[in-house]
Amino acid sequence: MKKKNLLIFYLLALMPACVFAQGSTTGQVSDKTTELSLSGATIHSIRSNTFATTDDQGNFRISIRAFPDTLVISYIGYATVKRAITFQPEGNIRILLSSNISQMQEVTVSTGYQVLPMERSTGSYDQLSNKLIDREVSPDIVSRLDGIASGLLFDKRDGTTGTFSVRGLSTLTEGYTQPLIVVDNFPYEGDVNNINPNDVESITVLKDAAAASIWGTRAGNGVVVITTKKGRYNTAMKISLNSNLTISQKPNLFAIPSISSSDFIDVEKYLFNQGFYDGANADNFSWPVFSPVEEILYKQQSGVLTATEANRQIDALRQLDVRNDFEKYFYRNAVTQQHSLNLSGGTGNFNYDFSAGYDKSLQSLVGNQNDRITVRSENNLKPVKNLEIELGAQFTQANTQQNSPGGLNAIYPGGGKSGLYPYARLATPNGQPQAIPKDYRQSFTDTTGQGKLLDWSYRPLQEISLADNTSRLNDVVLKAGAVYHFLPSLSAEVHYQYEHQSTDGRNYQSAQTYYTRNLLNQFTDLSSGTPVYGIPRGGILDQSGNALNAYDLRGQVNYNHLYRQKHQLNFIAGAEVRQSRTEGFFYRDYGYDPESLTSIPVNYVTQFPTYDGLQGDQVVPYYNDVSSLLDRNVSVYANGSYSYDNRYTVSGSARRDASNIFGVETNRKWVPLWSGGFSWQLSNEHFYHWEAVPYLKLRATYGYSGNANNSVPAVTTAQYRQPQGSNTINGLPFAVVTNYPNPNLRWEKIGTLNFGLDFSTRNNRLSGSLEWYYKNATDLIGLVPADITEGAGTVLSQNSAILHTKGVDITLNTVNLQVPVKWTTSLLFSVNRDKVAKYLYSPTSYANYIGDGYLNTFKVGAPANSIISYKWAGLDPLNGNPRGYFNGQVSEDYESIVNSATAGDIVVSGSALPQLFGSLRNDVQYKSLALSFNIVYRFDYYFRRPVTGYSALFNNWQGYNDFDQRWQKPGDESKTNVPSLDYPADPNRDAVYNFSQVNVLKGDNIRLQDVRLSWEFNPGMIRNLGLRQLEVYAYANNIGILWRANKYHLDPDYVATGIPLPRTYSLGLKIGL
Amino acid sequence: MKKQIKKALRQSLGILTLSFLFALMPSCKKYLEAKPDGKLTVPQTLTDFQAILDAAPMSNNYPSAGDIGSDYYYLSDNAWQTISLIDMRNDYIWDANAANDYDWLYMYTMILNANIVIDGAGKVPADGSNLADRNRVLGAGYFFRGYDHYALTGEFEAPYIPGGDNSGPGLPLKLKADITDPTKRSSIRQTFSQIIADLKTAAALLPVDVIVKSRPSKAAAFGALARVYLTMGDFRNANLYADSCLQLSPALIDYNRVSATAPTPFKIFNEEVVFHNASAGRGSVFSTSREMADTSLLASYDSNDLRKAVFFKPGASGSIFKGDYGGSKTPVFAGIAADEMYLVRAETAVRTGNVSAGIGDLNTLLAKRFASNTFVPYNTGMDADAALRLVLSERRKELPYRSGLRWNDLRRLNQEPGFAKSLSRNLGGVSYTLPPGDKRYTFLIPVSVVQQTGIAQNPR
Repeated sequence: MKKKNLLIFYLLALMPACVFAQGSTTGQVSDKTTELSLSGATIHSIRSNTFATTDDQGNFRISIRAFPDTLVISYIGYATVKRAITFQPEGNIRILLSSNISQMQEVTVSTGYQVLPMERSTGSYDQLSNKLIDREVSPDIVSRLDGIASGLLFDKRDGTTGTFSVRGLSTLTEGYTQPLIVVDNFPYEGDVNNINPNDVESITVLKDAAAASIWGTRAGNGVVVITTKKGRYNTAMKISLNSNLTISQKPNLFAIPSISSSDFIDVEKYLFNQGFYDGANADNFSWPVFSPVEEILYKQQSGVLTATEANRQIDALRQLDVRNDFEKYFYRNAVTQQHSLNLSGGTGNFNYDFSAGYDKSLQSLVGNQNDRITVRSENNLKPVKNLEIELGAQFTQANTQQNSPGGLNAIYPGGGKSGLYPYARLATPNGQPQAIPKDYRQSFTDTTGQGKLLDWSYRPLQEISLADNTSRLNDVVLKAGAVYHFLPSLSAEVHYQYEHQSTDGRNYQSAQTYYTRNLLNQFTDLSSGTPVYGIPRGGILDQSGNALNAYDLRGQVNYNHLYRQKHQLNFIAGAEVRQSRTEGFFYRDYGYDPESLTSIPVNYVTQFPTYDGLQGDQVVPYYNDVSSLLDRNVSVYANGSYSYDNRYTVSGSARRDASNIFGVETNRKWVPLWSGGFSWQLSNEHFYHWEAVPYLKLRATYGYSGNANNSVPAVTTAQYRQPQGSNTINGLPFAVVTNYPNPNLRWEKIGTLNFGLDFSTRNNRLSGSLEWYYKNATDLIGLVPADITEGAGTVLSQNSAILHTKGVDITLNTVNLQVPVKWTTSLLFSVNRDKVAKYLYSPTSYANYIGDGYLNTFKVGAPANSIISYKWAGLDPLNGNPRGYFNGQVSEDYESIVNSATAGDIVVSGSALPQLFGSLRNDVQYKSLALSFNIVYRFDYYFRRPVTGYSALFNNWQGYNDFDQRWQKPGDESKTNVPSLDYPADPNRDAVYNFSQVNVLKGDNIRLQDVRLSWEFNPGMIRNLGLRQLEVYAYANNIGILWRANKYHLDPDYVATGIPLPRTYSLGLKIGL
Repeated sequence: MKKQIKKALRQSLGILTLSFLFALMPSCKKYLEAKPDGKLTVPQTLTDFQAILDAAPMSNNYPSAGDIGSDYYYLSDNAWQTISLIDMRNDYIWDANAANDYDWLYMYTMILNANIVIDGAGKVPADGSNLADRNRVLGAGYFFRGYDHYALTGEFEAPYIPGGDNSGPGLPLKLKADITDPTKRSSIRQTFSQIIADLKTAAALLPVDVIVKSRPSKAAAFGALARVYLTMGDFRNANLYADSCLQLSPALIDYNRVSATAPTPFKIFNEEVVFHNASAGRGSVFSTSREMADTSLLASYDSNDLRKAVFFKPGASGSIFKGDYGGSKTPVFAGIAADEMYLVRAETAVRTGNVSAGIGDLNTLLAKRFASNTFVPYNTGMDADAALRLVLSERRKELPYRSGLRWNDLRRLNQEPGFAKSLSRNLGGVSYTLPPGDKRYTFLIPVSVVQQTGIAQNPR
């Protein structure tokens, strides 16, 4: 634009004698990025002093008295444009206005300590704009990163969406793998779900050492910096409203490959005939849980039922599938509504951004719901010259109601049974809650107690309406900061943030709930004829509280100077102190009456005989507890960069951290970390003449970040515990030794080498970046098998491993079509392969390596998350026994395989997490209509299919549908890998099959993640309504798998729960004033 | 003027920022020494060490493999087949490869805790005000170290041979709180002398009275010494220490006052208990759905003997044990009770030539076990052999299901031809036998330990 103006000026100067002519000029005004025509824009010709406005199609006609003249085109929300017109133009002139929001002159990234121009940075940053973040509809911010941020991988194996990594693993300690989340300046200590995504302006992911090392010992897993919306100086007030409604399908319980009711019943009949239940049947002391079929079989045996009647009853049960009852009575379509309002604007020395949001979700489990109110205010003011003060406040209140006893996997009889028989009936056909056995045999709980006990039956469906379990979270964040410019190039700043988050839980379990009835019955002693109650009649009220108080204080000096137009020096140095204290309590009242708000004291000290000796002698359960956690950190840091002529940049960073990790010598607590980087903007070189690629930049960085792994202090520690329930026999407070001295522990260190290339072709038709990195994580703390004679358990935490990670992140953006249809494509492609390079201890048996790819025993040369299996030799043709290998020979010696497998007897299948992944997003826009859809792909990983183990099936009622494929007669071994039924069950035989390589499947899949369709009304049309923006949108998420490698129709991302995330549909409206 | 103010402001702000940065440094150390968790402590005080000893694991991790192999109960085919842990199935049939890693793991974990207490409490300077506490805590540390090492001798080293040189491989002795201390097997003799030394140190330090019987008292240390000396065949010392124990804790429960119909007739910490301790991993075998009391044991009780009704609950297919002294409905008690001490004093008196004292003790005990006015005291002048036979038979009737006792009795009595017993099991038509002195009376040391440390495995 600037060049063009110069040219015009030059032409004007050359031709002093201009031909003045009168006429009118026509043109069209449209949005620069969306190319939507803008109606109602004002056009003013300066010399002629005439005015015009654009019509519905953005067209205008303005009369010009004489050329040359200059047009000033202005439109609310857009940057004003001046256009010189020398001659009477031929035809329409096209004027493109850029929205104020995207008026940033250069792309900048925020590290949480400073805002850097992307152009002069050396590190690897991935920035997500507001528009991209807003594409998805969800109440939380973290899940929105999935599929749009390069190098980020979400691990969904636990059925949730909140676990992710930046460029893979950097630690081997479970629970310490999450990236650091920074909101504006400081790490976010509260619950990240407190953040309303509507308040987020942009997100920056810091990926390499140069980018992240400023965060020191917390940066090892990568850093995600969330920048919230801010007001702008000299801007008229803008009001934005965003409102949407999301409905999700019920979770598909039938995706779980469960054993069928009929097969399960056949197993029960088989076991009955083997006498499997006889011991339990004779046990009139503990009364173990019996299933309905088992009860029927014993009634038949004792002659209470005829064989015909017993078979009739059993056959009726074969028709049932408890998942139908769960779908009908326990699950519903989840409904989420989200509303947010934002006001922002500013004068010359004051700006503001105020927002309020309300979210409410009725979750898919009936009885569970939550809502959230967020209010936020951000203000900046310049009271005197060179001083800018920042003041902010944020308030979140979230209410949660958790009245559902849980879903399919949460309801089970207990008493040794961790699964529910598949033909359980939870309600009668007309919806009346039905009882299932719980804790004890139903025939016992139904009849015992001569009417002096409370009803002892468990009706899961009834529990939903009886429950009263709520919690409330209040979170307040207050922040204040000041920046003072001593010189144009030198400034100092101070930032302070205070956060208070409190969570209050209240769980009232009335005398009607099973929990209370069961406990009261257990503590009823009828031995003397008259009941003696160990626990008073009435409900049980549990109250808990948790308060987080955190403060952050930072002082920083910034120096930023440009010498002679060529030497750009940028330097920051600072120090910070952070503290977070969490205090909690739990308190229980027995005999609670909600009408009078009274409770009754109990005797927690004396052991009472439990009913019928079911639990021997017990003290009344005591859960009261108080806790206090304190986390303190002190850091000093410096970061600087020098750029020469916008071509070469070198950067460096150094940091030292200390914290109050327990019992570490103070000098050990201080960890120095550094990084350095170099970038070369090739396209600014004089010799650079590649016009097709006007922007080309190369980057290289190396440096260290750390992991503050607080899990293993270096001294003996003991933790005091409250005497509660079965953890005590003497009722005295006690301490458990939690850590044994290990003076050699060091902090984990991650060295990262990163090479990057950024480019864009002319007109940004193709732009993107390519990055290659290598991470060398050393001193990783891993569990190593210990000599159990030392007394510190079976494993010890030691700095024992080195992990090497190689990876590639590629981002490509193309503009495929411009007009009339605008079509852009974004491709994310990441490769992330890690390998355990060194692991100090090798287990005594290779069987210890067997696992499903969670962080357990690491095999040198294999990925840390490897799925490792027993080698499979098929079924024995004679009897259908599974065959593995022992000492390299085909073997059915299960005990030896499981205890002492050798190197050749196991197989590394590969990583349990995708090693090659990314997404392909297409955005198509035609006039007001925009369509965006995202296809995500995950390749090069494996998962273990859940299969039946006979021991678990017999003892815990857990089985899968591979059961009907089991070997039954010679010849079956050619069709199936499912072993024959054996009795008694041998858990080692089960393990050799369950953990064999045949059950490991390729996880590769491609899925259509989401689709967004929106209609943005033409500004001209809505101007009469007084609106700046009006958009309606529809969005669908978790749409489905397009292709998967496994033939069992399993969703490899949700193997642990077996239930894929349900599809959701949203409808929304955005209004701008 | 304005410029000056600006300059002053500029300077003071600069100084403020800088001083803020430097002010952080000196106070850092103290700031960073705050506890990260209010419940966490680096154990240093006597209260801390007492709290470590008061934790439930110290009191309920007694080994169980010996009991699974003992002869006071049996399992039906079905019951045996429904045991999910293969090791427990194997222990029942005395399989040569039965592994008992948990017994080893738990006991050595408790021994490390005891060493932490001994090392730590030993460093707390003694003064007039804390002497009683310090002795109690330190004494308990030695007590647990001795008691828990002893618990392992019955499973992982060959039986002690009275009068023998006992130079065969004993236990690895763990005597300091150092998890890098190399694991080496001592000799059987060294193992026992260390146990005796620890228990004697404990006896000197421990108080007579404790607030709860999961804490060891002086009587507990005497009782443990009596038990250890009995295992070693040192009858004189066993007699002496049983007597010392009974001097402090002579109470016996009169079973006439115990409800035979109660699901759990005895309370935890009852008056007869000298020291409470319990076993960990026997639940699966000794569940009420599985174990059945040995029929010859049941048949041995006299019709007036209340123990049969108090200890056992008859069921459709057999009787199960309910007379646990730990108040549990399954047998767990692994502590010391006065009845055992009467029996030790009786046996050792008889064996050392004092038949009348021995039979006198037996009569004292049995008077509390028979229905009122039905017990006819035995003749204190009976023949020594008959007296010993009688005492040992009463020992079997009085102490079934007490962790470790029967297994250790089998190991020591098998050395006397007159009392040696061959054990047998029948499962699904297959019979398994364990002849006296068989190597399988000593279980295998966990394979992982042998592989990691290179210590000698027990022979097969």
